[in-house]
Parts: sequence; structure tokens; C-alpha cells
Amino acid sequence: MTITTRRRTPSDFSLGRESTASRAVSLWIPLGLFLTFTLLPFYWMIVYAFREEGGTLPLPFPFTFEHLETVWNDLNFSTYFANSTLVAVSTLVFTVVLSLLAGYAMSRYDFKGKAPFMLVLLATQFIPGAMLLIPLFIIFRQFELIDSLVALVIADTVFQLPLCAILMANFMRNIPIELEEAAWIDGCGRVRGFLAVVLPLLRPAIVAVGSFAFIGAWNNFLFALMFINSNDRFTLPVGLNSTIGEYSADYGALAAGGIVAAIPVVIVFAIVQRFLVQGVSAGAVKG
Amino acid sequence: MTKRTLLRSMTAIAAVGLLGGVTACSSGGGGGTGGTEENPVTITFWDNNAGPDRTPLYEELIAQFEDENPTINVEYVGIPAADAPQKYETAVAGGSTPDVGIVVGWMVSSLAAQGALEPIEERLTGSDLDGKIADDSLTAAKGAAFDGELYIVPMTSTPDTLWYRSDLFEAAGLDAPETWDQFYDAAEALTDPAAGMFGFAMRGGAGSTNQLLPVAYSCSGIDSFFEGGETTLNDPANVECIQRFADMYNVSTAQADVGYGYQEMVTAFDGGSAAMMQHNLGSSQNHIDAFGEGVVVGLPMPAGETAGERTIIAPTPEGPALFSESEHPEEAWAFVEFLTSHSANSTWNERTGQLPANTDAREDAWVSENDALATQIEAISDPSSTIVPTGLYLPDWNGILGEMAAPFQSLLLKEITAQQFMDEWAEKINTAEAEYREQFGD
Amino acid sequence: MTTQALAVSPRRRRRLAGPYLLIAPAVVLIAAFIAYPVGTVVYYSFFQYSASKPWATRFIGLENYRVMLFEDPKFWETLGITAAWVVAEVSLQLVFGLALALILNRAFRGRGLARALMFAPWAISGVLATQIWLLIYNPSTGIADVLTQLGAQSQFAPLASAAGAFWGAVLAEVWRGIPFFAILILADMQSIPREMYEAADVDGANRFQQFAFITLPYLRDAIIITTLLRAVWEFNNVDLIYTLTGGGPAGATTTLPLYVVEEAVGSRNFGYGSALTIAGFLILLVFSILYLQFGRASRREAKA
Repeated sequence: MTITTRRRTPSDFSLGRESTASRAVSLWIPLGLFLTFTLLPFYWMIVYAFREEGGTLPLPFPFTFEHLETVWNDLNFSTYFANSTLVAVSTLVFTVVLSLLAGYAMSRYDFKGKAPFMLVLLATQFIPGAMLLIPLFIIFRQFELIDSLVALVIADTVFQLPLCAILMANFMRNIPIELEEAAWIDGCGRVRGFLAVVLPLLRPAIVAVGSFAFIGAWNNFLFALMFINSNDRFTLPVGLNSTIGEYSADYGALAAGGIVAAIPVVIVFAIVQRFLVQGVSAGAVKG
Repeated sequence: MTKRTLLRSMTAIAAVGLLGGVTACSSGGGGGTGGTEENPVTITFWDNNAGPDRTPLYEELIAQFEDENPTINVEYVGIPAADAPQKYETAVAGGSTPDVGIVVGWMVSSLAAQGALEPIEERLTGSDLDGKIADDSLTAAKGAAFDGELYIVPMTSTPDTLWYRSDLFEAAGLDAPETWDQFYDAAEALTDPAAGMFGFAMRGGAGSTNQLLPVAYSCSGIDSFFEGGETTLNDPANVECIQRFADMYNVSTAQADVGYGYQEMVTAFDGGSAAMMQHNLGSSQNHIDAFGEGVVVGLPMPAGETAGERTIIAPTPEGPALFSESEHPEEAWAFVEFLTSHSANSTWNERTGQLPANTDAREDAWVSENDALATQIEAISDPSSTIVPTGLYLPDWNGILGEMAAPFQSLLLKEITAQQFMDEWAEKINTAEAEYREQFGD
Repeated sequence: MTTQALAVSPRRRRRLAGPYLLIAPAVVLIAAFIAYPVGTVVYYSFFQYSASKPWATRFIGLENYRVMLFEDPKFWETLGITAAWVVAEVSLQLVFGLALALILNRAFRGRGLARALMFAPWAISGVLATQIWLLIYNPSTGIADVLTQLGAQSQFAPLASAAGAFWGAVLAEVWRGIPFFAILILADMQSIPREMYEAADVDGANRFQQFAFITLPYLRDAIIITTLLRAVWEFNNVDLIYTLTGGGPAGATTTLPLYVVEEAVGSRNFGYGSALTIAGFLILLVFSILYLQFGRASRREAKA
């Protein structure tokens, strides 16, 4: 466990010497540019979400909560929200666990078929999802999973897992095997060695890969629309797409619904992001 | 560890599966037999254009239907418009269709050819609705199927409408765009790029080609789509009309129009940067929201020569279809009947601003108060108007419309001429028609 | 270095089944839910098949492939556009993602907030992202409108020209894709041993030298793998382009998968769409093998 405190972020070491001017050039200015680029489209979103119907000013004025109320109450977003959460969290758990397993195999063992396995994982991404919908639909019908959220969890996991497993394997390769071997010598088995030594060091990887799987499932529209046949089991993206009708596009509802869909995700990420940088959790960094 | 984790995750999957299994059975009720008040039959209903305007409307109508028919439960499923065709096709291919679903004219042929829809003419003639659905709508609905059978009971049909800003026309002292000459004159006169104002908002992107047919035929006055098995699309008169229309791009329209789909076009028009726009009646509420009552006026597509003598491309019908896999066809039909009955059809069309297919509904007071709608009904029923049915029954019809969207952009960008464009289109239609005749005879 | 250490370990011999058990769940899932669907695509690629014309379905062997290779200029055009799209997306996302990761890895006040905000574009749903960019590019609701309202008359309409539409789509997708690289690279940076930087500090290496000689080499494997994954992903990414430009104007932004969707999902020509899909599959397969070989070679070179 001492390992965690030993490993700090690379940039912490030149802190003391840096002048304000160089810090502005190397940090604040690029950060500001990035933030502007990132947030500009969100400004449009906020304008449409909180501006009254018919307003034309590029400002959220006249201000209204009407769109939020519409999507939450009339458009069933509360139900969609619960469904999305269930699907995305389940996908996250399955994907992370399964990619830890596969990643461990790929990074710690040499076995026959490793290279082909890696290619098979990659190959799952070689075909646009739209081409696979009908056969997938037929499979799920065989399992009587059409119109069940389980179908979404399975489909999302199947399509997120390959990338996550490859990424996880890559992260694990960076963790020296010697650390594990030291644990084995201390009398730990392979499993306990992994749990005690490797898993804590994988926290950044788990956060990264987990976000990847979660977001993929959270935003998946096509599977949710195709494999679900009843309104109270649809997910958020289906609700969002419904705001753009053939004869009317309710941008207010779309933007408000988008905020409902995005804010919790961003908040959760804000909480877990500190695990992306391990040193912080061990209290190694001041600022 | 591996075994245990595996086991544990498998158990979890199984547990979730069980949970899903329980909730997955949605179409409850007894199999085949009629329901009772205590144990009603549930039928599923798919709305192909879900959203803030239609979803609450259907929910209201369903509540009303369930009140009148306590032994039937209707489960509403709202499908986003852009993906509805794919959803229907996937469900048909995968063998899991609803009992009732709204189907637009151009999807009828494909779904019917796959045996997904039940022919319903007999049911219709045997019901109270017999004679209550307008002939123009019924003809259009049959004309949409590959075999000429009736697969949908039309709720509405969507004639193309030329919307214009009467306030701008009045201020400039212009005549209403009743003929194409008046249309082009007004478009030119009202264009002022420096003020960000253009005479016309053109749909150059998604869905453009569908709107070109009314442009071509209303302008050329050609009265049939096929002549001796060949399409009249690339008739010189049609070519000339389309060339003139395309030449307007980036002169009397904004440059951005080449990419406009429906939403962008309406946004530009209702945002006040265009004086005219071609769409159907479906957008009327947007115009009222943007400018208030009476500012935006809707006319049928302009006439070629003399105002009043119109050539009208048969409007695309839309309505509920009965899916052949339904386990409760009687209950499903009852709901179809309800949706197209006088009262429900009237409510539906009043709220969406569309043209009712039910003749009783067409007589309702609100119709005559809706000017754009009343003018359309007048034009369609006017004996001096010519209605031109298209090749909507061709299974390839919609695919070809989609394929021609990119060439139309090439035409707007002056990479090809209207002659080349219309020839290409005509060739595709002729091939599809020949293939069709080979299969089904004339 | 690590795998060799294990290869001689006696534990490995006793647990020969180990790795296979570990990958078993992934293999089972892929076999059950992807193998068969991919098989059907291969199958239909030998057919003239359109759902809306069941009477016309027939086996035509390699005819779809022959047409694709020799008679369909659109196949080659869309392939070229796809290549440009993938290269533009992956390189821009990598450069900006790496830069962002370097920034977010530093210690500064409000770093947590900055990280969460930077992450946000990734968190919003595809339809919303696309519609927002559509509004931004639309002259009556977007940048042009804001400029006009501020008094600077503008008809800025990027989607109206071929180049504008391409770069407009690239920019929107870069906006959404930067967080992917930034987060993965940021996470990977954590495994760089601090001693390396300490030693470099002692040697008087400046920040750029530290980046070029420590950070970048350490990130090489991660960069190789993330760029590959992203390239594959962007190759098949259709939803943004489909909604934003519809493949236009005049086909200028129609990538191969978008062409597939036009052909197959419009239910007009599923057989031909399947053949196009298989072509994309093979291209990605060859590309991935070569890329991984190249990655391995460069790693050996770095060690030598």
C-alpha cells in the first residue's frame, strides 16, 4: 500500500520554480481556450432550455422553467431517467468486471490465441451497429428479451466490452509484475495479490474505462429504440429523439431534456475524477 | 477467483434476467378471446411521430377510447419520427410487431409486401365508417400499396402548401403567389441579402426530392406521372420548371439552404429570414407561434399559367394500419375505427392542423376557420383541378427519392443541369416500374 | 519484460486454463451476440436482397462485390472521404486530447471543476450534440445570427459548401471526442514513475524535454492503442454526420458507413449494403493488423 503514496503526478515537481508569467502561458491561457471551445455549444443549449418559446435573443431571456417541467412531467423523462440509470450502471459493472478478467489474461499471460483474441475484440467494432440490428433482434427474441431492459444491458455490454478490455489490458501492462510477485512471496495467492496490489493501482483505469462503458450505455439510442417496445421501458436518448418530430422540432424540450440527461453524469464524474490521478487520493498534492 | 467472480456475475445476470423476464411480458390479457372489464385485452399502438405535440394528443384519445371500450386497454408506444421507418422494418423482420401502428403512405408498400399488414377494405365496408372516408384519401391510400389493396385507413393526407408572409407581401405591394410567375417575382422582390432577408426558404437537404414533384407538376401542368410505362418526370416542361426553381438557389434563397432539412427550413422561415416556404399543413402551428394568427398564409402550390387551374400531386396519406400478427385483430380494428371516426379524426386534425380524411370531420366548423386548410380542401375538390397520382406503390419509390437527394444538391450547386438531374431520376423510376410490371403485370 | 517473467513462473504451468477462463465470459458474449449477426451480413452480401421486394430476393454470388469494385465510383469516393474523416478526427482529437491531459494533470485551483467541465461534451447524448451544432451552424439561429444581432451582418453558413460541411462535421466530432483521449491519456500518465521526473529535474531538463523524453515514450503504447480504437470507432461513426450534413452537400461528406446506411437501412438494397459493410470490415481488419505490427516494431526499436 505504500506504493500509492510513492507515485505522484509528474508535474508536481517543477511547481515551486514556476513564474506567474510562464504559468499563464503554459496553463491558464490554453486552459481558457479549451474551456471556451468546450462550453460554447453548452451556451446554446442553455439558451434554448431556458428561453421562452418564440424568443430570438441569444440569451436565456425571457427566462422560463417551462421546458424542464414539460420534459420531466409530460414527456415521461422521470421514467426514462430511471431506466437509463439502471441500464448504464449495470453495463458499467459488467463491463468493468469482465474487462478486468480479460485484461488480466491479456496482460499477464502468454497463451495460444492471444493475438487472434485481441483481433476478435477489435473486429466487433468493424461493423456499423445498424447492420446488426435485425439479427440481434432475432437473438433477443429467442431469449424472450425483447422489450426487456436486460436486452439493453447485454447489448451495451457486448459492444462496450471489447474496447474496455483492450484498454484495461493496456493499463495493466504498466503495472510492474514485480509488485504482484512481491505479494505472492508474502504468501498472498494470485487473487489476493491482485486485489491487494494491482486493483488499487488500477483506480485511474477503472474510472476511465468505467466512464467509457457508462457513457456508451447512457447515450445508446439505437438499441433502446429497437429492442424496447413499450413507453415505460424506453431510455433517455429515445425521449430526447422524440422531441424532434416530423412536423415540429421542440428545441426547448430537447435542450432541457439534454440538461436533465447530462447534469447527473457530469456531477458523478466530477466526484470520481479525482481517482483519475492517484496521487491526490493519497494526499500527496497540495493545490 | 475467476470461477467465483464468473459465478457471481452469472448469478447477477440471471437475477437481472429474472427481473426482466417478469416485466417483459407486456401484451397481457387472454389469448385470442375478448376481454372483460376486470381483465381487459391489451393492444399495443405505435405512434410513428412521437413528441411534445402528438404524444399528449394520442394519450387523450386513448383515454377516451378506453372509457368507451372498458374491455380494451391500449398501450401507447411513441417512436421518434426520424427512426420510425427503421423501427417498423426491424420489428417486421424480427417478427415482433404491434397490433396497430400509424403508417405513412410511402411505407405502406414495403410493409405490405412483407406481409406485415392486413388488408382492411372488407372491414371498412362492413363498418359504420363505410362512405365516411373521403374518396381522395382512400384512392391515395390504395395507390400507396404494391398490390392496390387498402392497408391503412387514412386519418389525413398532406398536400404541399406554399406558406408566405402576408405582412411582407402587403408592405411590398405584391400579389399573393397564386401562379409560379408571381412566386418568382415575389421571391426576387423580397430578397435583401444585406438585411438577411430572402424571398424563399428552400429545402435542399433531407427530404428535398419529395417536395420537387409538386413543384414540377404544378408548374408544368402535366397531368399524369406515367405515360405508356415511362415516367413524365423528364418531360421538357418539367425539366424547365425544375431548372427555374433550382436557379433561384443562392439568388432568392440563402446559401445555407442547400443543406436544409425540414427543421432548418422552418427555423429559417419562422425566424423571419425568408418570405416564403414550401411544406405541408403540418407546420401551421409553428407559424402561428412565431408570428401570431393571420400573418402567415398557406396556399396550394402555385398554378402554372392561370390562377385557380391547378395540377396537384396526390397528397401522401397517413393513418393506422392493422398488423397481421396481431392476436387481437377485433380489438385492434375497433381502435383503428375509433381513430378515424368523426370525433377522434376531427380532434386529431384540429390539433395538428392537418387535413381530415373523415368527410364528417371536414364539415366541422374549425375547418372553415382554418384558412390554409379550407383553401386546400377547396383546391382538392375543385373540378378544374387535376390530381396526379405518383408511383408511391413502387417498393423502390422512397429509396429512389433518397438517392436523388445528393444529385439535387449537385443541381443547386450547378454541378449538373436540371436535364441531367431529371433524366437520372426518370431512369431510376422507369427501371423500378419495369421491374414492378414484370412482377405484377400492368 | 513482464510477460517473460511470468512465462518461466511455475505457477503458469499449473494454471494453464487460467487465461482461458478469464477471457471466457468475453468470448461467450461475443460468440453469442456478435458472431451470428456478423455471419448474416456476410450471408446477405451474396444476395440481391431488399426487404420491401421479397419476390426479387435471389442468390447472386459475388455480383455485389463485382459491382462495388468495378462499377460503383461512389464506393471509391466514399472510401476516400472516410479516410480523410478518420485521419482528421483521430489526429485532431489526439493532439488536443493530449494537450488537455497535460493541462489537467497539473495542480491548480479548480482542477476538479475543470476536469468535470471538459468531460461534459462526452456525456451529452448524440442527438443533442448534433442538434446543438446544427443550431450553431444555422445562419438564423447560430453564430451568424449572434453576429447579426450584435450589428455585424453575417450569413456564415458552413454547411452549405463541401469543404465547410466536412470541417464543420469534423469540428463537432472533435468537440465530442477530445474527452475520450484526454481521460485515457490522463489515466495512463499516472503510471509514469515519479523518479523519472526527479532525475530529469536533477539533470536540468526543461518541461518540454521532460515531455518529449519521458512522458511521450511512456505513453506510446497507450497512444498506439487509443488511436487505433478511435480510428476504428470513427470509421463507423455515422450518426453525427448523418444528422448534421446528411452526407451532403452533393455527397461531399458521405463516408462509406453512411453509404451503407443509405443503401441498407432505406431497406432498398440490403444485399449490396452488406457487401459494402464487408468491404469496410476487411479494410479495418487489414489496417488493424498492420497498425499493430507497426506498433510492435516501433516498440522493439525503442527498446533496442
